[in-house]
Amino acid sequence: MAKAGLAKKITTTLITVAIISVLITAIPMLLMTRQQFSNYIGKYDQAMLQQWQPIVAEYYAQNGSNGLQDLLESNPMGGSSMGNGRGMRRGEAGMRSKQGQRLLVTDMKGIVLADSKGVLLGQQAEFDPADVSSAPLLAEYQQIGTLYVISPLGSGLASLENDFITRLTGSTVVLAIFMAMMALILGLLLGKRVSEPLGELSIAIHNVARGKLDQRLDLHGDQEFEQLGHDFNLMAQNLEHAEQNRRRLTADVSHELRTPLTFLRGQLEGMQNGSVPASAENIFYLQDEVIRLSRLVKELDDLALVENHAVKLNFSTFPVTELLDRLAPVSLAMQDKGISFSIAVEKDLQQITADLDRLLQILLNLLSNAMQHVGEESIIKLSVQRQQDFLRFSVMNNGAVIPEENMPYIFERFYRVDDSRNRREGGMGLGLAIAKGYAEAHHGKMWAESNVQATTFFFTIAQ
Amino acid sequence: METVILLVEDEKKLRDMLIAHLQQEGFVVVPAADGMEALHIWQEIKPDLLVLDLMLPRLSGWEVLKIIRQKDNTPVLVLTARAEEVDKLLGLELGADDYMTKPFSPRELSARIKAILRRSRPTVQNTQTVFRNLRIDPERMEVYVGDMLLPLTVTEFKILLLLTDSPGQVFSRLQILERVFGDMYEGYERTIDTHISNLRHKIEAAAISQVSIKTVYGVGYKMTAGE
Repeated sequence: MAKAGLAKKITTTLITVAIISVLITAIPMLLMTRQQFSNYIGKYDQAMLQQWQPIVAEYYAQNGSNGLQDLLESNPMGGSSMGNGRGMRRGEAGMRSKQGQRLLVTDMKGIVLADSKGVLLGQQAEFDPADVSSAPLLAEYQQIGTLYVISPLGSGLASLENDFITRLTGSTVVLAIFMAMMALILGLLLGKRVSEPLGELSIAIHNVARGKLDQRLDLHGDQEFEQLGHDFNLMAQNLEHAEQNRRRLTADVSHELRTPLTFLRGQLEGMQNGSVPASAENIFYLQDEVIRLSRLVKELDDLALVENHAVKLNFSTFPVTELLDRLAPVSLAMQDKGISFSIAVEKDLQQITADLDRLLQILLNLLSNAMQHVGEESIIKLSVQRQQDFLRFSVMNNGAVIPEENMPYIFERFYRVDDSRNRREGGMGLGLAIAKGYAEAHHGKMWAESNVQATTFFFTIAQ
Repeated sequence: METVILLVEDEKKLRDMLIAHLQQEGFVVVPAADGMEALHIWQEIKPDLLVLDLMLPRLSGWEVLKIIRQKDNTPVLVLTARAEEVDKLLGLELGADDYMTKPFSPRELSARIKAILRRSRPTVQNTQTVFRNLRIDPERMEVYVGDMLLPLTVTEFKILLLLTDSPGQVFSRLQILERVFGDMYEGYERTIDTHISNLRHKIEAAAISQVSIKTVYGVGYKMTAGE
């Protein structure tokens, strides 16, 4: 069974939060309202007490309990003129009932002497202190009785309060429903906003996982999603490049193998049917071809190491002369071809720290590349200079310009400026790619500059 | 009648090798090393057929083929190093007559050339292969010993044609297998033995046979004359 979707969860959460916040707001409000009302009632009772206390006390002190009941029933006090004391004997019975106030007087033993409602006369008074306010009745600084004011919740102001609370509860419920609906709408909108890009992303990832690497995303909306879409595209693009690279490598390799294999096959068939004599010379041709094929395989190995950044360098420190000695065969080959070859090494440079074989390989690749592209009155120049923590090597030849548009590709494997893919000089188009990789393994870099005068390949190695 | 073939291949070694083979097969071969040269020679001598490499300097094989197709129907057999180009080549777009993917066998190249020529001028050629009283007609896929028609399977026919085309030459089982079934069956060389054995029975059944297939121990088979 599928789990609830993100949008559903967001909506549910929002609704829950909305209802909880309505409740959190409403419940203290209800409590506070009740509190305020009871405070108000309490204060009113107190005011009542203060009005009645002197009157009742005086009367009680003078007349005893006789007539006290009449006094309370007549309720001489007007609610509207509190604090004015005695003498305001206008009958305001309506007000008393309206406000629900009930006055009681007890003696010191708690026996009710007077009750404005006339119910509890002569009985022992027992009140919940929360419901009543009381004041002592004094005579000559002696307590002679107690005056009680009772505000029952069921009537008067209390019913007003209940009414208010009911309305408040009602509107709270309405508010809660309204908020819940708002939350539902917002939740659906927000959920869509979140789940839509995620859905797109999910589909896109699924496609990439199934090998559809040209999948790209155009995520709109919040910054995070735009960033996510951007990063996803970057990832997909890298994957696509890697895959293209792999395919191209396979195609390139088989292409490079096909021509020599065709030649080998033709020659061997010729020898088999007698059209090509199996002479020593012809056999040497075949052997050369096999050697070239073997070299291609070795170069492919090197290239794989370079491309996987898995070149293991065997560092040593050796005198510059050792490197130059190993270049001697190149000098001879250059002489043979009538190329003027010169080497310029910075004077105070004595020692080099590097993987000698790899460094030599870089130089051989660059030099043979230069030999293939030298111009008329051919000149090739190798120089070595110290630059801070690096050694900078450069191999210059006066050959043809490398067109600007080809520059970005010259270090790509199997790339040849001449698209005929001619293998005239045995160059497989791997040399530069491998050389660059070796330079980078030495924490250096490789680049080329080309103009009408000369084409120069530079590389650095860290010291 | 001489058949003139224009061979366009930029790799010199390969070109020389192919020239030797095609001459051996009795063709007159005119070589060209790049696309421009090929077009010039083509206009000059109007060869019977072009063998055209696609990767050429100066003017690519694609261009050469396009230009030629705008003018006439000279049969063109394309040499390519890329199998993925094949569909485009043979489709309407370029209209090559056949192709071979490198690496290929020159022997098969000759066979394909002959097939194209047969198609383009069917009346002229006598394509029958004859060895002693064995007569093979590739067009009808029929084999006769004397006047007797041998009931051969397609596989047996192909094997017999290969062996009879070069009597006396030893063919390894892998070579035979590749020619007959293609190159996917490496490792199944021994299946050839069964076919050879069946072939022998059928040939021997024709009592008047003057040819036989000999086993060369440790190597393969060859076609020889006698019993």
